[in-house]
Amino acid sequence: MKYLLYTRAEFLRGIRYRASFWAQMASGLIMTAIQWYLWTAVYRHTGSIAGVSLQEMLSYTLMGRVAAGFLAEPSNLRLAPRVRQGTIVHDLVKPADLHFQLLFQNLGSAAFRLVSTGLPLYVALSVMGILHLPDARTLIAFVISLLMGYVAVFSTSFVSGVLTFYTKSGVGVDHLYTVVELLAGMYVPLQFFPGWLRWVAENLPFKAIHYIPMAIWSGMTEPGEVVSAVLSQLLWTGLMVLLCRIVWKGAIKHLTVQGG
Amino acid sequence: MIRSSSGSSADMGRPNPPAGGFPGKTAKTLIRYISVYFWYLRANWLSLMAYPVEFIVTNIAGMVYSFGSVALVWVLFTQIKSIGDWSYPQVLLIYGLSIFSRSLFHLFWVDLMNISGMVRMGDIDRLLVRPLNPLFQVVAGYLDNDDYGELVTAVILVWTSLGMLGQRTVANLLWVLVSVLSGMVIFASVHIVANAMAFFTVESSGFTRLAWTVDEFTRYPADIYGKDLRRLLTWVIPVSFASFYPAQLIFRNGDLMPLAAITPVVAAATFTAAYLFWCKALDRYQGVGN
Repeated sequence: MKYLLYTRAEFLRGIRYRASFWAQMASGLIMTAIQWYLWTAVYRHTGSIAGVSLQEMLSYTLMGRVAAGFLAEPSNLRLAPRVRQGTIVHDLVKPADLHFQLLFQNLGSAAFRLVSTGLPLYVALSVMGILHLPDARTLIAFVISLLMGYVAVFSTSFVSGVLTFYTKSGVGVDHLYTVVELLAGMYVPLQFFPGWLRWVAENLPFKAIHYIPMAIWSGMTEPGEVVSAVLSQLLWTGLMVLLCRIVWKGAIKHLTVQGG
Repeated sequence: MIRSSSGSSADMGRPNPPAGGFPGKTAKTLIRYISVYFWYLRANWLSLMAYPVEFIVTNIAGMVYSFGSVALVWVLFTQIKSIGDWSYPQVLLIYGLSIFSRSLFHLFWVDLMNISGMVRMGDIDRLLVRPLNPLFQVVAGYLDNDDYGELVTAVILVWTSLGMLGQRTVANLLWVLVSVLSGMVIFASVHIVANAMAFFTVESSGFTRLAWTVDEFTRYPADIYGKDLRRLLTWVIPVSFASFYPAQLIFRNGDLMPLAAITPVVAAATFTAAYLFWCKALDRYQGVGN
């Protein structure tokens, strides 16, 4: 598949520009340490919060740190500058669809971040006995779910990037990204939310980014419910991809490039 | 041989010598810097008002952004009574002081992050030949206008949590002012050191990123971290004085009140150390050639 070549190229590019590797590793470690200390302190006077034990919580949040690079908000999806400078013409004449091209390109850099900073962190945390591999069935479900999580986070940024090109404003979803992170369950799992916020988060697609894969990994999702969780994630992710197609097709029609 | 050419640029880079025993001259220098800073601010304000709508929209978004991150604390406390031994309003106040200091730092000192770029492009040389302190020139040139939103969030958090604690007194508000200014100076010192690394390594984005991450420690009560880490964050990289310790004075927490009281002293000492490091680094600076 030709798009996988984009993935490979981006991954290799990551290997070449590894200057910031140590700093990324160090700040990843700091964030992980903060999370560990915070949750240990939160659970000091209680064994379970909203039915979640400390062990499950650490597993949820620290696996979240391991996958943070993979599920990070993709950068450079803003289409407005490409339109303003007219370079979008080059993207459009290529025999590849720009939406899919970007999806696979960013997958390459996400995979690079997962391997370069996520994997060492995972190894360290499992040597320290904080993270444990779940059984094979859960693990497979988690990997599938994590991949869909990537598609979901990409789609969120892509839709917002395309919208900036309608609104011509510099403000996009990255300016409101903490709200997406909150609703995705990146700070706390959704069962911690008060009723109305839980309802909002359950009915938005963002939980497909983070909550669903991490709940599967940590065992918050009961073994019997894993399949239905993955299926609902598939549904949400599919809807997001569809939305990407719609706004993207609409944007191309709407497009006028000036000058030349 | 090579040193001799760099020596001259380093001499120019050195800050104005302190006026020895002549208070009139020091005051004059101070007034000069204040008036120059005023002109920088004025130019900044005028460029801002060229696109007022963009400015307002970005800052409302910034406010939502910072409230989004506070939501962690709020959601947590719908489920629990305390983090460690700290209650909801106490955690909110610490969090509020942290982002207050941080947003002030961000607003006034953000151009520190451009040092690496300036070194690469040779723009530092331009600052060195002007008759003003180079650090002052780097910092005064630009205000980060996207950052008022976070500042508003911080003010709301501090105001609300003081109210919840029943501590909204004039004295406490003045103390908040002292402590966030100290916090700003402490954050600035950390970032000065991180960015001055550019004079040794040209590329310093890694250190800059680390400096930003270190700030994250100040959002939560410092005593949740282990003993060694806490010592590190108190005496080596004293960011705990940006939020945790000054808050103790408002909590009237007997054990930690002495530490709280020395917050401004720690800020001054940290800044002095960072400034000396900056001068040393600038001495080493040789330019990237051309």
